[in-house]
Amino acid sequence: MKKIKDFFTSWEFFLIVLLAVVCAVFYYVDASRVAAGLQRRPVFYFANVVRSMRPYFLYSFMTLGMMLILAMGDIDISVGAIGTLSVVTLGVTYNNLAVLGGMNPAVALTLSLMACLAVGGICGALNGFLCTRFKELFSMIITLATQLFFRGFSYLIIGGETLTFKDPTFRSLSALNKLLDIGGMKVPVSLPVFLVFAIIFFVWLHMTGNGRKIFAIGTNRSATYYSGVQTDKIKFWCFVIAGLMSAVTGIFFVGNSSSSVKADIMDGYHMYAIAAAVLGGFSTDGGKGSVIGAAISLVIFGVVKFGLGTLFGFADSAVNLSVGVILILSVLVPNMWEDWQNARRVARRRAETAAASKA
Amino acid sequence: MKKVLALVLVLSFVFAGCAFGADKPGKGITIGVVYKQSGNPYFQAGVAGFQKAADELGFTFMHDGPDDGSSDGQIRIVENYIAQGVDVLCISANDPASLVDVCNEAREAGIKVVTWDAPVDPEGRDLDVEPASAKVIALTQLDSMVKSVGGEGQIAILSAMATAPNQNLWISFMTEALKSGDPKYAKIDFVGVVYGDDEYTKSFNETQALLEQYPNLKGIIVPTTVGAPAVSKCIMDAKRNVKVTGLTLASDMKEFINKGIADETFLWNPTELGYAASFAAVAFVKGEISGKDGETFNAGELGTLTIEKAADGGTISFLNKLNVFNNDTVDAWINIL
Repeated sequence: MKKIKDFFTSWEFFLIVLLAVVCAVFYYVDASRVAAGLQRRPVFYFANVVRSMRPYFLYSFMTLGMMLILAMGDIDISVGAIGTLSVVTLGVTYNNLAVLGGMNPAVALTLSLMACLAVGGICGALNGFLCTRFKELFSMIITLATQLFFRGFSYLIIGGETLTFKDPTFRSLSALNKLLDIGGMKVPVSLPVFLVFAIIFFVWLHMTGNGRKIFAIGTNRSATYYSGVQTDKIKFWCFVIAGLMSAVTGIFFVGNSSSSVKADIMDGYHMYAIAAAVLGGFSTDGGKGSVIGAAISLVIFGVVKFGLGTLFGFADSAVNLSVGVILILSVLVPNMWEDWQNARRVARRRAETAAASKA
Repeated sequence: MKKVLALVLVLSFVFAGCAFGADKPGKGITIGVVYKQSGNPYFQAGVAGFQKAADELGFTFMHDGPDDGSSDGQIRIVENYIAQGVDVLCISANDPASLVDVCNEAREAGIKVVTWDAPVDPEGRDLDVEPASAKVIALTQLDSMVKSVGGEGQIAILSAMATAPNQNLWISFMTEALKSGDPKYAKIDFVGVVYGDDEYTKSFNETQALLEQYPNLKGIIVPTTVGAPAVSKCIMDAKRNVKVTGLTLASDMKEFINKGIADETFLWNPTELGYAASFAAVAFVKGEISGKDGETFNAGELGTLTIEKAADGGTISFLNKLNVFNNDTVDAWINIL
């Protein structure tokens, strides 16, 4: 019984309700627009929504990495820039090995992908090292600095040009952007891949001791440290994993942009990643949040952006306002709920004492 | 007052569109317009062209561009348009390569892809609509210069980099025309090309050298937007009677056009580009064209446009018409180009 009550008062349940409300509103708007002749055909139906989730799941992997950092009470705003630098590395390595060096393209691509992931990991390691070595600095300041550094470095490597690869081996990366046909429905490849990653992170974060240690660091770092947990080591590796996830995002990004590589990509992606994780229940205070919540949040943001863009005709640049509104509401509503509960409790106590003193 | 007038005009067009929509060829067609960046006046002028064509043809269109000028923003917008089921996409691409896959997906869904202003690579588009062929761009400038100097005298060219492919192509068309024996060029003495490297200071210094070397110089053609204001400023400072023409921004050249240093300069007109792209889009949906070399389509007040082979291997259609900035028109363009 308690478990059921827990579920209905949980943050994930609130997110599901939010998603349902959003879907209901969009569905209604869609139907009435078709009825009014403003649209030739319905846009907001399940298969079409799933199909259109592709651009909004690009940063889903980054969100998973960001969860770890937020759970520890830190923040990493360099993840977008890490993605850029990894992608630039991927492109430049492949260009030098296969196109200019004449290496077997399959081998070259494997090596380039390894280089890409390695750079993601190294960038994360740099963040982790700086954050554990200089505890007096906020991780936000450190990663702000490294973000600028990684972006600048990307431009240094590749300049303003676009590297485009038309050979079939490199083009195979665009398979990551394909739509799978599952039961007649077009499902973006990134969705099932994200699901696999999400399950791994779920098991790790919520079902293993190491995962719990991450939350413990976020709740009280000193207490965790003095209970014998190597907090610095865990923190370091979390940053490395966040970097790796950025590189994974980058690889999907290359698939999404017709196998072309340039230095001005993935700007602002860290904000999407942070927003999805925060709506998912993670906070910069650390110590809380769940993978399921983050996954639902990604869907919510995707659905809202898609709906606002297609049904309400919001310009692409205006769609992001929804992220801001949802985020503020997601912080405000629980706070107001708590205030209201407290006020009710106080009133009840007062009534009780008044009744007792009367008797 | 101008704005009110424009609003009234637009509204009356819209109402006219509603009233007589039934007979128009584009009725029922939806076009998704994607441009490089939202809030950019150049593309607002382009959208005005789509609006003008929509009023004439009766199609509906949506338009959007990313605020950061990124290609992944454009991919997002194209995906939204695919989900909405538009008939044609009219894209000005931030990057020719990045949009190929998403455009091909649109084409698989039966959507035609017409690019305007900046093409998507040929494998991802059906047709590209561009302002003018190299020959027209070259000869428009040359003829304007001949007119400015009264048909006789020494003229020179100040180009961008010595390696700039566009400029070199234009210059080759100009020199070819000058050598062709055409009587209108008979008294023109072409002294040569100098290179300003698209840098203001270098262009200024090169102009100074030209003016010293040729005391009887009558005009300089500047087929690059960076060079033109530098050349004009140099001539103004030297108080010489040398005319300038070329490809320029209106905002850069207003001062010099008003002072008579340049009689007229040129650049393409984004409104006409949008207008022509709309007509191509409607012709595609109607099945009148399929984007093949040699086909023609009616582009309203721009006349009939021909589809030809493009240098990148795809097909292209040129408006072959440049926008003229002179004393009368320059003010209307300074906020746009």
